[in-house]
Amino acid sequence: MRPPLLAVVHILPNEVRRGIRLWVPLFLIWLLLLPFLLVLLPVYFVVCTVVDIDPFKTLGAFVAVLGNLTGTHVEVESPQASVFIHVY
Amino acid sequence: MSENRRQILEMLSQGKITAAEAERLIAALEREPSAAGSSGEARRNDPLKYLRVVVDAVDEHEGPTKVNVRVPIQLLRAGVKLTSIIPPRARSEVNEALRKEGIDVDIGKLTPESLEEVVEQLRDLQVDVDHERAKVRIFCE
Repeated sequence: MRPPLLAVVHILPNEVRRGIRLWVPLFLIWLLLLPFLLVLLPVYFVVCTVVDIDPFKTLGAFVAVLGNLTGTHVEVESPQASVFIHVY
Repeated sequence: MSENRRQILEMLSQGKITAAEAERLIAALEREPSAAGSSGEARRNDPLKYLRVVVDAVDEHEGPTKVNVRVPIQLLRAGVKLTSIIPPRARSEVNEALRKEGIDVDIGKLTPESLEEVVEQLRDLQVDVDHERAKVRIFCE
């Protein structure tokens, strides 16, 4: 299990000649978010205590969901637009 | 004719075994998985990786639409862990609501391990909806 490193997002409206073609480097986003997450960690623990949920289990669940997103593929082709999302 | 079957028939013709024994041996051979069967078995042992949803729809006004979604099965397993987010008080309310609907499930006891059996059954799941305006296929691979 590893977090997704890259997401490819293509949104191509048929009426517009050039749509959006994005290669999202998720690994950079994780790196950028890491300091914020560390700062927010105490707040997270306080919130978990207030709403009476296990912070470690919750964190584990989110990490598991995030880590298993790899391989997700969504492709929609309609007369209006085509959308392509793939998570690597 | 397979090599084993030929050997059995040769032994029978040489009088080394009786007709009844030959019949038993051939029956045993037939019970053994064939090459195709064993590859099928191997496929059965392969872990499921993805849940696929394929939709091919045609709208009178808007035209054809195709949807192809592939979700990792591991994501389902991980999703079960999200039940830990539900606070105990809300959990009992959810359980009660489910019970009212005739679903006697304690979501607090739902674990990734308990999902294994469901995931295993997904191997044989295939939903095919063939409507004049849409075709939907849901399967695992």
